[in-house]
Amino acid sequence: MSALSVRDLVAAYEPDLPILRGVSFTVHPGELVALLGPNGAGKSTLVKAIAGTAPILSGTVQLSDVPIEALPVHEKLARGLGFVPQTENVFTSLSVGENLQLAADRLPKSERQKQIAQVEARFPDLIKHRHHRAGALSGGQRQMLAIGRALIGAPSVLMLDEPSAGLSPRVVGEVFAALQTLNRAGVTIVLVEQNVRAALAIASRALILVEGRIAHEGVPSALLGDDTVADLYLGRKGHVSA
Amino acid sequence: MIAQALLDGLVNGAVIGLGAVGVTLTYSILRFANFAHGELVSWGAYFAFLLNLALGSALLSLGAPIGPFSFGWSLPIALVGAVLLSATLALLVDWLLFGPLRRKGSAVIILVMASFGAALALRNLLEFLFSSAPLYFTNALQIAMRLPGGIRATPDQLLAIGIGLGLAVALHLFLTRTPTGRAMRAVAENPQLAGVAGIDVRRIVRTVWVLGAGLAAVAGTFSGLLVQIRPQMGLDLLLPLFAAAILGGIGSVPGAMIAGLIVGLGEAFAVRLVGAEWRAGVAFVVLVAVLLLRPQGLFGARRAA
Repeated sequence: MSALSVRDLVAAYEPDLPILRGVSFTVHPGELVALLGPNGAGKSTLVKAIAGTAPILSGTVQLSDVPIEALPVHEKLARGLGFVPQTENVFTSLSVGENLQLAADRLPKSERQKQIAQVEARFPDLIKHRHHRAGALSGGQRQMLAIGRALIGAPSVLMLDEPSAGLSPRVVGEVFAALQTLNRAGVTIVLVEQNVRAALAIASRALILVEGRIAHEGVPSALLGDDTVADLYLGRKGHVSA
Repeated sequence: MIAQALLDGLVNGAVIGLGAVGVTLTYSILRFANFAHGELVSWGAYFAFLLNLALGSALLSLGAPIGPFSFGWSLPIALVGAVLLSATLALLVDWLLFGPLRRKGSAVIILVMASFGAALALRNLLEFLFSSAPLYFTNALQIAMRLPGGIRATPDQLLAIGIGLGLAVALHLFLTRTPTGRAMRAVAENPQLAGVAGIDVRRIVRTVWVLGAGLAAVAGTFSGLLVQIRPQMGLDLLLPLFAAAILGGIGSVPGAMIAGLIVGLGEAFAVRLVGAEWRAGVAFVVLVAVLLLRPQGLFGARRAA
């Protein structure tokens, strides 16, 4: 069984300008897959298309072997797909508690408080800000809240679009440590990242997207060991960290 | 004198406030200024009128006045029916007009223009069906009560203020304390994230139409009860409704209600101080002043355009 399986995915905002030109890949349960690639390769569009916030022209997306590409966005979530967008990923006018409550509202009543408590146990920082507006949180806290919100309902796959964007190196470290802990606890993760070094350090496998197609795929050490790949797409930093 | 203007203003303001709450909800969640909102007020009044007439004729006892009020039990029942019918009308217009435009990703200006078209069609349909002659819920004269301070008010007027404030408080609690209310605030802030957070955005859109049209029907019924029912009543209310929604801060329910009362009071004082012909200008002055001085309104959050 695959956790997430994408076949021949073509996605575009303008029908004659496809951003993804036939992307296929599979994520197995328990993996942490990093989606890397140069700017404009279509990494963000790929996770948005899977989550349902970018239009799919053709291709299939299966979550735990069930097709989900035609479902409305909120239904995909109900089937176990968690998504943390890159920007504007918390409701700033709502309190921290309301942001979590909102995501729990779709669950059965008996589950709601339990799920929120689990997320708060994972990110204790959120507890003392429960009644504060999410707009007042720091960048790192917001990211934790966004991840926490996406974890409510225990998704089978969690996708994150550049969680390190705009954060200081120290906070990036905290966010990635949290992702690694989550992954070790069994959460399957798909991670879009520009910060190649940080992503490869925690990834079990990486896909390199170039011009709307998967150009390379492999475990981090193999990709970093391939000089052409490392030089072209992973940057010197990635190479050095190998 | 001043106390009486205060009361007249509050009565008028309660009707404006109820309409403005609907405008502010649709504006913040559907993200366009719905110029057909006034017509929901008119249609609500006509629905209530027809149901009230039918109920009163079918069962004479329902038409007998309740206590000090000018109307019988037929009117509250008719009001419930009018709320449901107006909500259905709003959903129908959304299904035929705004829904297809939203799915095509139409620009806001297209939606606004479409709402102008809907307003025109709905208003003229009313005129076609009922003529432009005014209608009244009751022909009975209601004796005003004397209140402290030399104020005179009819029981119907006091009821309008009470219902207006009561509904605004109820709606505020609904938005802040219930899952659907939370989801509505989330969709208002960021519809795309709302979907990702598990909210069925289409269901919230339907809820907004039902609430907005329902409140419009209540506003229309009270406006009809206190003044008269005319096909143009919604059009005449449009400017005050928008002035109140913007003064209150788009998206703020308490803001829209309080601003509705302010606009109502402004109109009442303008009538006393400078003459009745200036009444319609008050909402316009309020609107321009708010847009120039405090575009986010009294209670609205500053938003990026």
